[in-house]
Amino acid sequence: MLEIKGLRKAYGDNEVLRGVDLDARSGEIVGLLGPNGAGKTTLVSIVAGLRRADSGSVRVGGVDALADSQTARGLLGLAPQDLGVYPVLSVERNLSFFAELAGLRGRTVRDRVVDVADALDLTRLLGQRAGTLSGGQKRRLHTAMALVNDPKVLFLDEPTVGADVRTRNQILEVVRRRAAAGCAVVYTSHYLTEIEDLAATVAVLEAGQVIARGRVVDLVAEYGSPALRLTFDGPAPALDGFEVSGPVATLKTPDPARAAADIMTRLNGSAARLRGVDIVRPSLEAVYLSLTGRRSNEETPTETEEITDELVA
Amino acid sequence: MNWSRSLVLMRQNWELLMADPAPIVLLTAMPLVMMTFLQGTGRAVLMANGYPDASGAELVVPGMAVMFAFFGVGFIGTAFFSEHGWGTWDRLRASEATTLEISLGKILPSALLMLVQLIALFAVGVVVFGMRIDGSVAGLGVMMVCCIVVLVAFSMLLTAVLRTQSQLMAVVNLAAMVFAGIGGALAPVDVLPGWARTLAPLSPAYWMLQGFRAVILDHGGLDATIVPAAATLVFAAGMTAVAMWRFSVSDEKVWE
Repeated sequence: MLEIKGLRKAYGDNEVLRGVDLDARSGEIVGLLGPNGAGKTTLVSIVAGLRRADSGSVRVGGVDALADSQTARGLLGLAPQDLGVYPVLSVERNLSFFAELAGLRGRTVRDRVVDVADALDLTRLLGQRAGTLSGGQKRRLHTAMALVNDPKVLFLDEPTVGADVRTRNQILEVVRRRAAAGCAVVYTSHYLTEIEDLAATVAVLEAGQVIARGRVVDLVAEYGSPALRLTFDGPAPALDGFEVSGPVATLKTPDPARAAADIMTRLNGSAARLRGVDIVRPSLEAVYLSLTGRRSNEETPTETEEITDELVA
Repeated sequence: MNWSRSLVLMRQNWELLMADPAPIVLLTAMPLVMMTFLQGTGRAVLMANGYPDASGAELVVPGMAVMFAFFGVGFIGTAFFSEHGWGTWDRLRASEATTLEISLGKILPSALLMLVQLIALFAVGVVVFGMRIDGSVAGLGVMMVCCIVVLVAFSMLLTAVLRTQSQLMAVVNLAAMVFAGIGGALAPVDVLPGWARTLAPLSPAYWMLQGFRAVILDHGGLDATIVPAAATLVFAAGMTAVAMWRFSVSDEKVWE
């Protein structure tokens, strides 16, 4: 449904996209990840016809999006990163306008408006001016406006930024349903747990190139590695195979549970200072961080399985 | 060019204009107030210039109508700038609508509004202020349309070259006063200082008012509007050419 090959884009001497290859099948959700400045928004902008590519090819539903942008845009739905709604118009009019712009008329417009409003819990707000909505309601309307033309390829650029838990869950559920209906979804986010929740495949964009692509489980298997982490009261002792940093000693191992049992017998005098034993499971975030070498989101927790102090005690 | 889609865009922009009618009401009411104050002066000026039967409205009504039509240029620019402020510009561009369709959708509702405003002011001038139109009504219509064409071109020029809404409103206000003042909207060109009389033909308002004067005061027929209409359209063509040269859909505009 979406095929991007060798896409390049430079702003002056700054080469933002350096030969991006990316594809999304019908019904697939692609989590497009990457640190700020990696080129995600530029990539989305080119596919949506907002910027010109220097070279490469983009096909949307079989249409050459660089040569026939207008036809390709007709197959797309785009919710940009920044909120975009008409505050002086009603929720219903915001939605019906984009439905009409896509060529829908009459009853079809009403049906589409009702459908997307229902999916994003906007039905009771249809008559309300968009400018009077809360932040979460505006975010839902913003997303609904991208869905109202029933797109074949849907681009959601950080759709849950600033959204509360309920809004976030509603948006994720709508994304799942759209994908189940055959839509290819490109979902850009810094919240990696959302990508896992969506069971999306992942494309990691770094410095203008896709450096990893595949299912989360496959990427974790390829790039991730479980670890055993010991935390001491005071400096961690030197332990064979462990990396020591302050009070923490870490051992990367394919079988951290077995390593935990083994190490208990070798701690000797340091056992009394042991305060925590964690088995760190490889997660998408761990893979992402190892690939990009940066921290994507300070608030995203690393998945850990804590064995706790009582195991030690 | 898809006319059905253009109509959707025009309807939506009309709704956006009507969502806040205060500026429209103000730009229609203010010239009427000004006409009331200035009619006596207009009568005196016209009597002194060989029009003993004039009511004064023949000078004041076209003058105020043209000056406030220039203020209306801000409607079209605002239609573009507000899309950037609301974050909807990229959404529009990512739709199937072409740049031409989006631009027409923005321009035509405002142009229609400006034309209705102009007609309303002249109608009130006739009915309330006793303005007599001695010449061709068709000629009057031609000049009104030419006015709107050049004002649309001017608004496109400003939209293309300016970056912020504040700049737009500042330039619109300044241009309205300068063009209208030098063009003879506030006082006849004959009574302006010598330097202003020299510069007057460089203002499109001058040619608009020359055309109105020909059909309102000087019994002119349709042919009397040919030169002022053509001059006005030359301004429009020049402004449009620069606007098309400078306009880029990907320019960032700031709504302040």
